[in-house]
Amino acid sequence: MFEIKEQYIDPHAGMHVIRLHEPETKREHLIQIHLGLDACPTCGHVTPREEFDATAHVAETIDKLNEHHAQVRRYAEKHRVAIR
Amino acid sequence: MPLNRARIESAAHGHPLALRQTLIAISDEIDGINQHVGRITATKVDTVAQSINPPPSAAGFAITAQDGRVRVTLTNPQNRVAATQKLVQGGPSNIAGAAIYHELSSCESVAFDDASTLTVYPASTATTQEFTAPNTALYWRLRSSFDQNAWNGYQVFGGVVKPRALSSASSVPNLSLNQSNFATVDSVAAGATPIVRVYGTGGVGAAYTRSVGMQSPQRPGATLLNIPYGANKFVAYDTEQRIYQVKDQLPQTFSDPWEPVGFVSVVFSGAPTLPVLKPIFTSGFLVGIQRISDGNGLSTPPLGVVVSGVGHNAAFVLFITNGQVSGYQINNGGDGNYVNTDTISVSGGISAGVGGGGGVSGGNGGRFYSNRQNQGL
Repeated sequence: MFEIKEQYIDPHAGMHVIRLHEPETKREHLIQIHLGLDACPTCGHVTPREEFDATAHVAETIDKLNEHHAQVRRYAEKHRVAIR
Repeated sequence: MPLNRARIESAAHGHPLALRQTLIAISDEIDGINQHVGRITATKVDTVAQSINPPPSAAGFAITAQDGRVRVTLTNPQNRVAATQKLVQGGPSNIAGAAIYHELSSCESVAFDDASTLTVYPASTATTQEFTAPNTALYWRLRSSFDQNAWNGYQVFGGVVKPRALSSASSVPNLSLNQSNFATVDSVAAGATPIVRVYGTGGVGAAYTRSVGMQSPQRPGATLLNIPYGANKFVAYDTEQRIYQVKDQLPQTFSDPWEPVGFVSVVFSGAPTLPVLKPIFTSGFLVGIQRISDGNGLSTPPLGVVVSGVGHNAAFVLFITNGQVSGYQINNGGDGNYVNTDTISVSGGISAGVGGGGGVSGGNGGRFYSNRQNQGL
């Protein structure tokens, strides 16, 4: 199952970085949330971000990844193939 | 100063008797050893190293310049021995014992008097040092020291050193093209915000493989949230921070540690930006289309119609790549009655932020310029 390994704000990239790790397969997945520090290149308008529900989106992404991982596990068990 | 009974009595005067007895015992032990192995004179050695003087003799000094780099090779003087090293250890060679510090400096003037270009590099015991200085003509000089206080005289390398820039002959064949990846970068809508996804051939959530030279490192998949709608973005993987960088312009991704991944046209929440097209006629027939702009956020090819007062029957179809018009095909040039003031009306191509839309794939093999050549990328 994917777990949050670390998370931090990278002000240079303008991103909230969430690094996920799945210990069984040693897979890594990145969730990066754009914080809107840069403006629209055309009109200069900075998109407001206050209404963005980061927690819900992160939880949804982790759920999808875990569902995908669960499918792989079911397949491996059905066919008796090791996951590595 | 030799160790003898008179010196012991002098040193122990005024101190407890145990000190005198201990010193005499040590003296007796040394005398006993001397009788067996020959004379050893114990002398007083300060705990603080003496100043090492004079400095070492001149080191060997060689410079080669190639492919934008200056390589300095130094050879320590072999027969010069530091005074304290000789005193304590019995005289090792330089290589075996005493460290010799070398201080290099460079300048555009052979007199090393140009303050604006004189650079003094930190002293180092390394005998090989490299500097990057492509297309720069510099004079180099060297001085050496045991203690970084007493230095020998400067020796100036003979002649100016000017390494040229890296030549094509110094690179492997096809270097700039010998990299790619198997990443897909696309965009889907998720409620009020678009998602940019980076994934490999295993599908969404899977890592992708990068190909560079003879290596195939894996890079993690990613979910990039809250990217502005309708934006064209260049995605690169930052190998130092181990995160993805999303930039508006291609040159913003040119930092050395960044790997190009793909280009994506982020989905729109509403109607896409339609392309602007201009017909090209010859003898009243439609023979070509000038793409003034390619639009953005297109999920299906838009419908184009030639608007004319007198011409009829011209027909063409548009193709899209990454949410933008990438080409066209004229199926019918018309009845030959079109005039140069006629126009093209474009409609459709809408994907109102409901799954898919926008860029469907990185589609560029990791090389930004491969399928963007029509736009000068």
